[in-house]
Amino acid sequence: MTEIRLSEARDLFTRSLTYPVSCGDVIEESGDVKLTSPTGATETIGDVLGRCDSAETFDSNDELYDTLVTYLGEDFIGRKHYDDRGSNPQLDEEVSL
Amino acid sequence: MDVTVVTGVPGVGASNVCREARRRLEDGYELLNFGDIMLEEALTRGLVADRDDLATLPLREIRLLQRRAGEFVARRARNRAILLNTHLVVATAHGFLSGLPPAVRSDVSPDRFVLVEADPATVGERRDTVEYRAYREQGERAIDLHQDLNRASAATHATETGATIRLVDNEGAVDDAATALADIVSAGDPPR
Repeated sequence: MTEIRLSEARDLFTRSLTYPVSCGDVIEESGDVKLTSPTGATETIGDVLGRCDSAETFDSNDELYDTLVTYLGEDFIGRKHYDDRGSNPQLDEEVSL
Repeated sequence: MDVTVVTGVPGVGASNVCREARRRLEDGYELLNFGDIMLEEALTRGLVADRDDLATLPLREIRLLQRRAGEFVARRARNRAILLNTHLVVATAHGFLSGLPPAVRSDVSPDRFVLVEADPATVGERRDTVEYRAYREQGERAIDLHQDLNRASAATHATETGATIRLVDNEGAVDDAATALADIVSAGDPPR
C-alpha cells in the first residue's frame, strides 16, 4: 500500500484523475493510498472520503483537496498546539513583533 | 534538483495552470502547493480548522509554518524536480506578508520564479465564480497592487539568488498557459 503525506495528495490527484470527478471514483482510484501525518497517524484516502457523499462531484483538485482536509479524522489532526520539536526560542525571538 | 516557484494572485488560476502543466510533465516532477503543506502542519498542531484560517493566525505562527513547509520542500527536492505553487506575497489579516521570507527561500532554493498573471478585471471575474473559497483584498486596485507586489518580490528574490523570472499570461485558455509553464519547467533556463 502506498503511503504519502497529505500534502503529496495534490500531485497524486493531478496525475491520476480527470475532473469533474465523483467522490466514489476518487475512492475507487486512490482509496487504498495511506495518508500519514507528521506525527505518524495514518488514515487511507478511502477512510477519509468515505465520510462524504459518494455522489459528490469535484470540479477541480482544489475542491477535492479541501474536501479531503475537511473529512480528516480527529486522530490524524492531532493535538492542540503540538510542536514536533518543542519550543524554538530562536524562531520565537525571530518572529516576535 | 530543480525548483520552480509558480506564483499568482488568488483567483488568477495559477493552481489550474500548475495542475495542467503537471499533467504534461513526466514522473520525475512533483507538484507541491506551499499552502497545502502549511495547512497540514497547522492541522497537526490544532491551529486551524480549514485553509481560510491560515491567514488569520498570529504572524509568529504563520512564519513557523512557513519554515516547516520550506524544510519539507527542501527534502522533497533532493531527488526530483519540484513545481511549487505558492504566493510570494500573501494577503493576511495583518496586511500583505512575504510568503517566502529569507530563511524559507534559503531552504526552498528556487531556480526560477514564474509569475502567472491576468488582467485585474479578469481575476475579479474569476473570483466571483468560486464559491468554496474566500478572498481577501478584493477589488481591481487591490488585485493590481498584489500583482505588483508579486513582481517586486520576485525581483528581490531573483536579485539575491540569481534565479530567473518568467511570465506566464493566463488571460486566455488555461491550456495555453499550462503548455507555456510546462515548457519553461522542462526546458530549464539558458546557461548563465
